[in-house]
Amino acid sequence: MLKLSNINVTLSKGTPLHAEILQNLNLQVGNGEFVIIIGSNGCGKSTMFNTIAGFIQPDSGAVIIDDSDVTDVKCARRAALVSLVMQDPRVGTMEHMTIEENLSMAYMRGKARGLCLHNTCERRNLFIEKLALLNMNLENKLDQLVGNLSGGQRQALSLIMAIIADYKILLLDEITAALDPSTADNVMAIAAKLVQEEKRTAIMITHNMHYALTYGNRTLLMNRGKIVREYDAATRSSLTPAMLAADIGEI
Amino acid sequence: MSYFELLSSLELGLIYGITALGICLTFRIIDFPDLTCDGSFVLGAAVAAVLLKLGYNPIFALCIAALAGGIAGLGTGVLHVYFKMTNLLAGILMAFMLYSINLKVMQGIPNIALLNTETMFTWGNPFFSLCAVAAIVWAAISFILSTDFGLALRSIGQNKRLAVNCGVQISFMTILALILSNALIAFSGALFCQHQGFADVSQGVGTIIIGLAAVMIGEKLLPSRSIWYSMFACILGSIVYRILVAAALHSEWLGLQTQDLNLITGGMVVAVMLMPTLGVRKQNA
Repeated sequence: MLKLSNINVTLSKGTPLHAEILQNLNLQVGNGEFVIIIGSNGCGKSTMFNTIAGFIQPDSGAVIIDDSDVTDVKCARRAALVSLVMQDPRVGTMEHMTIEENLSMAYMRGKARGLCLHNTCERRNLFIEKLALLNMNLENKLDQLVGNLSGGQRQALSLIMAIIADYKILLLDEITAALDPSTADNVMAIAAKLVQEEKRTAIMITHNMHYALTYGNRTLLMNRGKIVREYDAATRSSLTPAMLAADIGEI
Repeated sequence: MSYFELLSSLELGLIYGITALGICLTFRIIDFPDLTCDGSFVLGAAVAAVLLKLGYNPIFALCIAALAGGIAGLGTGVLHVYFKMTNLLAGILMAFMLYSINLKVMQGIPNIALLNTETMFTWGNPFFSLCAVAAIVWAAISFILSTDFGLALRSIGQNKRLAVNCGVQISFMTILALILSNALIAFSGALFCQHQGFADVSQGVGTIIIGLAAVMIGEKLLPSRSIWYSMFACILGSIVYRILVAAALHSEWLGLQTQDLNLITGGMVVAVMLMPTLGVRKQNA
């Protein structure tokens, strides 16, 4: 379970660029829930993700994961709890490493990295099993450099990297923004399948109104650092993507 | 080039190959241009020379030299991570300070000769001993980089944001890599001192260029994604560099002399950078 209570984040404090990004933000996401966040650019969606992941320290308020307050836990340590998939597949993967090395790297997220060889048979079998979920034939290309893969394949790989190690909260930050429409649909479907199978708390930011209504249990609309509207399952079924887009424009 | 000159090039190549491994660790693996090496190479030589003069075991002298180099690397790391200095400045400053420290270690004598002193090369054939040492160091470093710890180090050089996402503590790992790298370079300096039979406070000048030249030649000769191959490439590059330098200095028609060494090295680095990669083209280079 994730709980954000009264989070305030101000960037460039005391300069002319002073910007109050998050203002008294409250959010509660239960176990197994899949929440979609929408909102215009600059409304604080990514800042909220960075606060949850620990890249940004809030000025006030608390980040609570499974009843423990992690507000002061550094992001490298918080990696054991929070898994993040980023918008750009080039940032989410390491192009000069092989698929296996990328997965091994992610497999140890939040664990102590010792002097044991990373390319063990046991791990490789796990990687093959997980990559097979993608139907992209990546399981037979473990030794390929990630730089040789397409953007869609890299983004799919970064999804697997996000779930290969244990976590409590999965954050998906506009994961389809850098992909072409049909690849985007494919990656989105894979992400939804993984979230469903993992049955753990997930939050996704998207600018695609269709995804915002199709996937997840509820949709939240953010504006000026706050959650201003909530659409539950019943409301969502009566909405069309165009109506949702109109709501964003209205606010 | 005579047999003796070739052998001497091979031996120097193996010694500087270890320096090249250290430089590869910082410049390539964690992407940290560490300029401490000019100082830590001499530090290794100085510590080894003083210990040998005092009659200590040559192997013990090598280990203490590596330890001293590690401390120098720790200094650079602390300057960078905790005092927020840029990586270049931290390295230059450390190398600058090491000049005085090295003189201090050598008790103010800028050149210590190891005449009639027992070194590890008086025990047996220097070439075979160096081959063994280089092989051990190569295997150890390659192994370290093939572990979870090594993978974390490599991730720092490639994608810091993702490394943090995966829970890698960048500052701590950077310091560890600097310690390891400078320990290797000082170790190599100590080997050089035992091999040449002297330690000189100015012998470290240009270590970084020699090491980089070796790393770059190696990358061109053995472009590979496997860690074991690319670490071997550093040592191979260093040997090839030494042979090329010896060949250049000994070809009479070129008319080059010892003082032209830096010019040759610099020219070689430029030539290597312009040369297309042999074999496979590097992906997304």
